[in-house]
Amino acid sequence: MNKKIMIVEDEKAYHDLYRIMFEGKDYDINYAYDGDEAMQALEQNKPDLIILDMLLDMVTGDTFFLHIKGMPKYADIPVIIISAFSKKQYKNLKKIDPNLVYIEKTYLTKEKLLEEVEGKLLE
Amino acid sequence: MFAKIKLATKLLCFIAPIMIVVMGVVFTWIIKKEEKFIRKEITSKAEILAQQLEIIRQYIAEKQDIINTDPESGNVTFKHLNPAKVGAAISKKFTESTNFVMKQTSLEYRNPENAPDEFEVKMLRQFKTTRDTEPTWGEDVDKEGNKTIRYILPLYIKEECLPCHGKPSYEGELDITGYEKEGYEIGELRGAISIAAPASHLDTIIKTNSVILLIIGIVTTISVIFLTYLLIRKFIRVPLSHTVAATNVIAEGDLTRRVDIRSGDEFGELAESFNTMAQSIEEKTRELKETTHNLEIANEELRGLDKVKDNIIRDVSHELKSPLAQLRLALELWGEGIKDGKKDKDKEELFDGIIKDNIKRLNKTIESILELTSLEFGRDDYDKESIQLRDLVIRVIKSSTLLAREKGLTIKSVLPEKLPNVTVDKQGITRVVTNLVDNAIKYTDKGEILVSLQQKNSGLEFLVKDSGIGINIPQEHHHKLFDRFYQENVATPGTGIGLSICKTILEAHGGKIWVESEGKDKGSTFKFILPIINEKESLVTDS
Repeated sequence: MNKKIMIVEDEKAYHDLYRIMFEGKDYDINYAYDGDEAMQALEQNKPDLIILDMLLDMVTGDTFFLHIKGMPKYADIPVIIISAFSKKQYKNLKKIDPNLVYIEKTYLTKEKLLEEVEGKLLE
Repeated sequence: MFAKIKLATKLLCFIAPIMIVVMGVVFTWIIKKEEKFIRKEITSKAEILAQQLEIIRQYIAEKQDIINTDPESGNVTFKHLNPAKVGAAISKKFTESTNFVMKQTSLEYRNPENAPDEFEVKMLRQFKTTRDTEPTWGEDVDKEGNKTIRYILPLYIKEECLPCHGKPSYEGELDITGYEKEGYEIGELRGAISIAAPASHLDTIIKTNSVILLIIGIVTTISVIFLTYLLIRKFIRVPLSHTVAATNVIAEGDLTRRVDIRSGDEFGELAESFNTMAQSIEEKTRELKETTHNLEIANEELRGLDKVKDNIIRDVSHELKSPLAQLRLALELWGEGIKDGKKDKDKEELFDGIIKDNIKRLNKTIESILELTSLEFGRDDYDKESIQLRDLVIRVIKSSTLLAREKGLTIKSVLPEKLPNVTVDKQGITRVVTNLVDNAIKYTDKGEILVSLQQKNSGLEFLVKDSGIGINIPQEHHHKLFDRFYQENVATPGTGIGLSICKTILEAHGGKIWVESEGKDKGSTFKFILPIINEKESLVTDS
């Protein structure tokens, strides 16, 4: 059975780019545009990995992250944060989940993305 | 240690000994004076008695011929009434009937009763050598041991004494009394009248008076001490303790406390100046508190500004990084496709779109930064003039009508005539109104846009109401819309700097901007208010 990835990102252009980057990989990808949508999707179909942006509508990425990490049902889902904000601003999130991977969008490449995703899914 | 003693005790420590010493001196003086007076009185009595006896003796001496001569026969016979005998008889009788002792004495006495005692011997010897005619007196004790005052009046030989005491015509000549004539010459001491007055009552009087004076002294001292204490308490301690209490209360922080002393003395003055001081401290403290409070507010504002600055930097960097990242990813993926030799028209179009969009977005962000920077630097350069806001709004609506018509929207305006003028920078306010109207058009797809002006108290209120997408954040966060680079949805066109600029311009005019919305898809109403400055008032203020 294919691994399930949920991408939470408010810009459509990024969803398009993610889709292209994951082309040829056997992942079931679920696209969510904000925190609400992500929560609904989470309840319907628990993913194996979450890719999370920080600047979201309504609920910001870090709030959403803290929210799921606080729920035993979802706390074990690995998260990769991919954001245009500097990594330094979210140092405290690493304390909640030491396995958290944070990639700044400026340094995001296809190779890096696939490597991190595969690494996380193998764990 | 003395410094720690209370004021009343301290004062009494000085007053009591001084009083005791002064009273001791005064009372001793009084007693001495009294003693001297009593002594003088006793001496005077003795003196009169002695003089009286002397006069009697002299008289008897003078009258010897008459006394001894028989008036009828002329025969002379001694009648035993010479001065010595009469004097002795009177003295004896006087001594018996009073407590005085009167006596005639001589170193060469004929009658053994006239033998001098120790005191008299001493005095007689003195008179014998000095031949002093003045009587003398002294103190002595009698046989019973009682104190007496002794008075000695010397008797010198006079003419009339010679018949009995003068030189004998022949050896062994006897005088009329039957004694041998002693051979005295005029002026020689024969003897003395001696009076001993009792003086034991003198000690008693002095003792009694001393006790009375001592009691008076003690009572006076105690009264003075007590009075001093009471007076110190009433006039010094009580007002002082009020002042001390007030000082302590003030020191503990209650600056409203005052001293309630209304006397006209130094304490009244002290209380008055104390109260003035307290008042001044209270005012100064209040001023200080106000200043501190204002400083705190200013500090808070500065900290807030600091945070705003941090947020701006964060938002700007996000607004620059995010499109840049998209550009880079799109180019990387496009390049990969070219390398693989695959031709995918859909993908290429997608990359092309992303690249174009993000270049536009970056451009806009950079422009906004430049615009904001110029606005920041030039914010004092507003060129204000008194205008009719209505005219300005009408011009903006005219220029935006085309844009609205393209989207099939209508702009309705309610702009009453005869509204008061406002003093504004025309260019700045035009920018605000344009921005608000353009936003309304931008975020509305159908329906109408209402623009209105109305007077509200001392301000002129402008509003733009649309039926567009509304605001999807809670009301308490509405103010964030006016923060720089805030965008409800990043995907929405624009950089989020427009409203921030509006806010800056309006605040520079003493105005305010805010938004009302009932929520998502329920439209929103942006309002701002500008103060109406009365021409007359402004003239007054200017002069």
